Amino acid sequence: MFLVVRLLVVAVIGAGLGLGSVWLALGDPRLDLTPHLGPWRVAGAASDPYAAARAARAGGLPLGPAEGVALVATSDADGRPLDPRCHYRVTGPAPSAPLWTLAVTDRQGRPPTNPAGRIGFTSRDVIYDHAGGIEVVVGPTARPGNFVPAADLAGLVFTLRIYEPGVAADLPPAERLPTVRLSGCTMGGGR
Amino acid sequence: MIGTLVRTVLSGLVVAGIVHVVAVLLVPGAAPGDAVARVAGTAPPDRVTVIPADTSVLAGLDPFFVHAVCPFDVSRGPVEIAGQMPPDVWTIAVAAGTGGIAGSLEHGSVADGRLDLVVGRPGDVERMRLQRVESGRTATMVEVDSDRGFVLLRAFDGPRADEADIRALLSALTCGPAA
Repeated sequence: MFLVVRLLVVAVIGAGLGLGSVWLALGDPRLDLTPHLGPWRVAGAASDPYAAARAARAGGLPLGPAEGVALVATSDADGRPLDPRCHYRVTGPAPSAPLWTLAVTDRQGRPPTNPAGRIGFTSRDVIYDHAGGIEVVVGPTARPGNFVPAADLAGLVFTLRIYEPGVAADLPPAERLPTVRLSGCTMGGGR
Repeated sequence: MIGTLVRTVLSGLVVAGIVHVVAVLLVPGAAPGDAVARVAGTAPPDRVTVIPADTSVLAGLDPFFVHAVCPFDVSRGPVEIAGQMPPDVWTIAVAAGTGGIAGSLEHGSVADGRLDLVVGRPGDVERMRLQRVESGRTATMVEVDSDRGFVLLRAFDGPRADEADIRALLSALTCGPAA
């Protein structure tokens, strides 16, 4: 009888902690241990079983090794969560790949809607500075230059996709990627 | 008594660790709305179907690209995706079984933009490879570890591109049993 009770306790602890820790590890972004490059997190790292599990639950397919890599920012360079009421500058060196895209969405992957149809920039249409770098401003009110209006988004996520074979296995250092800087917030922006 | 309690709790923690590892590894195959299931529920097999870049079919697609899928079932033999690809940047991923990527390629890996991709079980692909060598036909071969999956084609819709042309080219690709 005592042995049965012990086995039951072991089973309850094992199932409860085991499954509970999986639920936490896959659902809480703070426990996402995928590689970070400055504010960017590597999406769907092929060798990470947690990333594979997250991708399966989300119903997505990450970029393959020959396709490139997707980097996702949900916080600025100082670790503050992105807020659609604020203006941000995605600024610094442009990725050296033949093609990259920077998409602005909410946390559900929906892009902003605006008359210009502007949802981000690519290496083909962004305006570069004299040093070959970029500065893309994202926020609720219009700014000159490379600007993405995001007033209608409830959340804010930046996804930088770099299309170059093998880049996922040989990621550029954070200093060779643009970073995300807070420019300021509108009234009620909470900053 | 305390020793027994400690041993019981430690045994529970060991079991919890095993359950954690097994559960994480099983999630891709057990998730009801994984990528393979989503595509199979949206696009008919043996043809290329253009899908929207929103999250209605697959999550995390690049809105600057046009996407198309071809669901496959290689239990009856390899499938072949062939035809002329768009002139600008494109990439392809082959997903199978648990939604993992079995293979990928990009526009620089084929000559003249002519795609010929064969997907199948390892034994079938090896036979197909030998047949192709004898007949002098070249193709990119991808082996998958389960029967059901899909090919995802991503074509860049650049500022000077015509989305309608890209969609037409992708839709004109053939996808079916390999000959």
